[in-house]
Parts: sequence; C-alpha cells; structure tokens
Amino acid sequence: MLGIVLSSSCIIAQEAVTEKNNDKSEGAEHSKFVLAGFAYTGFTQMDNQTSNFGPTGFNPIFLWKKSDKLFFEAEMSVEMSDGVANYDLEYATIHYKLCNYLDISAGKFLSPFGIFNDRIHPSWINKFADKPLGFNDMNSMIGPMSEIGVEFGGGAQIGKSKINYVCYVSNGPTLSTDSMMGGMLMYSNTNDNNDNKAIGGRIGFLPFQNSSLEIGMSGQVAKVGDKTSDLYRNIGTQLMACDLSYFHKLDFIKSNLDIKAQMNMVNVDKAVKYPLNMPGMDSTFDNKSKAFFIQLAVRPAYIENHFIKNLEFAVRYSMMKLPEAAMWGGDYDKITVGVNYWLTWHSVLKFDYQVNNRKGQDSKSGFLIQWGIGF
Amino acid sequence: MKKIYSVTVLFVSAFTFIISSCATPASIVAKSGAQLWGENCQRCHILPSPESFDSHDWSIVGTHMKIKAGLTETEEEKIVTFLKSSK
Repeated sequence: MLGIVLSSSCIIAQEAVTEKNNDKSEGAEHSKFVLAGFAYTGFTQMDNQTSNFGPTGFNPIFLWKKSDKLFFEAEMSVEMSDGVANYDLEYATIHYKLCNYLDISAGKFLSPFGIFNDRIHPSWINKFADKPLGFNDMNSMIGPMSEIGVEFGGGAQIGKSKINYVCYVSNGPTLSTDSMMGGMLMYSNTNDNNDNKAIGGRIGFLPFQNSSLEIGMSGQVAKVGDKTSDLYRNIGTQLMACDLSYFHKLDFIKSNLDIKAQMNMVNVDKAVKYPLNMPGMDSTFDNKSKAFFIQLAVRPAYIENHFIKNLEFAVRYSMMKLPEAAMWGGDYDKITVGVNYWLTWHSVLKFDYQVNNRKGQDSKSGFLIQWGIGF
Repeated sequence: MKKIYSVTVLFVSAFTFIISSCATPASIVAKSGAQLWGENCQRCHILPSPESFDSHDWSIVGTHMKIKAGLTETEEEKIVTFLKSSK
C-alpha cells in the first residue's frame, strides 16, 4: 500500500518536472507568477494504536512579483488526517519594499516567533516526520503559528556580522475561558476579541561572516481577554522565544552538521478564576507554559559513495510543560531518532523511531515514515 | 498604547538609519554569489539546483527567500545572479 502511494506521488512529481521543462521551452520566463510548495505522505505505527497511513498533505505556495517593490505570497494547506480533509490558509501576505533594509508586509503571515514555524516546518525541510512538542497540535501550541496584521522586516550587514529583524502589530491570541480549556491561549486569530493589538518581533544575529551561526530572540505582548468580560478583559500575556541555528562542514567525517534549537515560554496573567467544575481542583493557577526542542542532523554529503552521501542521521529531543493545575496541563517529552534518505535536494524519505513520555504514565514508542517533497 | 506605537516607529526609523550608515568590510563585499548561495541556503535546506527554476522564476523565488531567511538585498541579488548564470 505504501508502495502504491509513494509510486503515485513519484509519477505526479515526474509530471510536474516535465511540465516545468515544457514551460521553459514555451517562454514562461515572462511570467511573474510561480507555483511552489510541498507535499507529504507517510505511515505511523505507535504502541497501543492502530497502524495508519498518513497524514497526507499538500501545501501549494503562490508567489507573484508585480514589480521590484511589490510582492505577494500565499500558502494553502490541505491535509487528510483522521479521516477528515482540513483546509487552511497558512499565510497570504503583500510585501512592499520601503528601502533596501526594510519591507512592510500586511495580511496573514507566519509568526516570526523563533525559527521553527517561520522557516523549517515544511515537510521537505523538517528533518523528522512530525513536529516537536508544543509546535504541532492546535490544542497544545505554545506560541503562535501565524498572525494577521502588519509587519516590518529586513536584513542588514553590520561589519562582518549580520542581523535580521521583524516587528509587527497583529490581532494576537485570545484567552479560552471554557470549562475544559480555561486559561489556554488560542492562536487562530481571524477575529480579535478586544481592541488591544499584540506587538511582537524577532531579531536574529549572525556573528560569523560565513553565516553559520544564528541566534534569535523573539517576543510578543498582548491583552488576550474578551473586552466584554469583567473577569478576563485585563488579562495580558507575555511570550518569549530563543532560537539557535548552526550549520557547519565537518571535514574529518566529510559531513555537514546541522543543529537547530528553540525554547518558547508563554506567561498568561493569573485570572481570578476559570469555570472549572471539577471537585478538588483549583479554579485558578499560575498560567505558565514552556516548550523546547533541540535537534542535530549529520549528512555525509562529501563521501563519494552515492548511497551513503544521500543519507542523513538525525536526533531530536523535545519537551512541553503545561500548567499542572489546568485541565489541559501536564509534562511531556519526546525523543526521536531518524534516518533520512535524500532522493533529490528537495525530496526526502524519513524513517523515525520515537519514544513519547508523559509524567505519571507509561512511555509509548513507535515508528513514523514520511516522504516529503518540495517543489 | 499610542505611546508604544510611536516609540516603535521611532525605534524602527532610527535603526534603519544606523544600519544604512554602516560600511561593509571588503571581505564581505568580495563574496561571490556562489559563496553566498552555499553559506545561506544550507542554513535551512539542501542547496537547490540552479536547474530547478528558469531564469525569470529565480528572481521571484529569490524575493520569497529573502523575506523568509532575512537575507540582505546584496545577498539576494548576488545569489539570484549566480543561479541564473549557472543554468
């Protein structure tokens, strides 16, 4: 079955390549429009769960360059998961170049909160078949995935170092006050629940002139309570993230080393109470959450053997700490070890073994396989 | 809140002015498009083949990547010129 799915994807990918080549011969160089994106499919086998093909998804990215100053980009996501097709608009942003050092952008954009969501989440870039804890499920996101608002950003050389920077104003997250999810921040921000707008940004510093190391700091502040609620209207939140990216050629093993790490911290002001109807449980709690991951990948890209040079060995540790007294609280961690095989520079087969732990419960382990294609 | 917005705008303006006044060392100016392609693209993904897009499409993809990766204007121009010339 997996073979059939993968073969189908291969045929589709081959057709896309043929079409692209035909376009070249037909003078498509005059087009200002490019269709890019990525797709993925896979297989999962976890302890005490039914083995399953999927999730399977397709994310087309539309790029349109009207002029040297005006640029539009949008990404849709279509994912089949748990028997349901989920559609979403990941981002749709108009960019205008104000000067060489500053663009203004408006619309829906990926949150510049760390590097995972903004840069390395696509399936052909992510080294693993799934995402780290706190960066995946909408009900356990620690930090935003996207914003609707206006942002300013750019990059600049400062001596031999570089910086990149983004600051934005957006609708921001909203505070859930229902009996199950009370205190959780919801990041689907199509409609704001108050007149206060979130302010946030990220600054990345690349100290070495070969750009091998980047250290980033991100933050966001916002009021998150509904403006009609006396209990919650003044509840604010402070979000912070630190990220690290390091890429280096290791001559002694003829390999590339790639390290990525990110820590997200979310602090929500303590509410007077949340409507929890469980006997013996507090109606309020210190609302602090934290997520962290560190991953390391080694690819022996400079070895002459064709098979070995396309292999990649990766390991990732991720953890998520949610308020213990909350209905949705808990401590989790996950270790993933993977071997990837690169069919081309934008097509990768991933084979992962994973161990999931939750405090107070037995560990669960399993295998994940994914084929990710970028185009 | 208006005060925060005003301070933010002032900060961004001052920041942009300071950056645009900085001189770039000769070793950075001398970097080729090929070198910048190798240094920057691999920070997130495997190096793309120049054959992946036609010449005109590279300038569109280059703008997309400049925004995504926070590249400088010079880096984007040199990388795109290199990719176009390497086909």
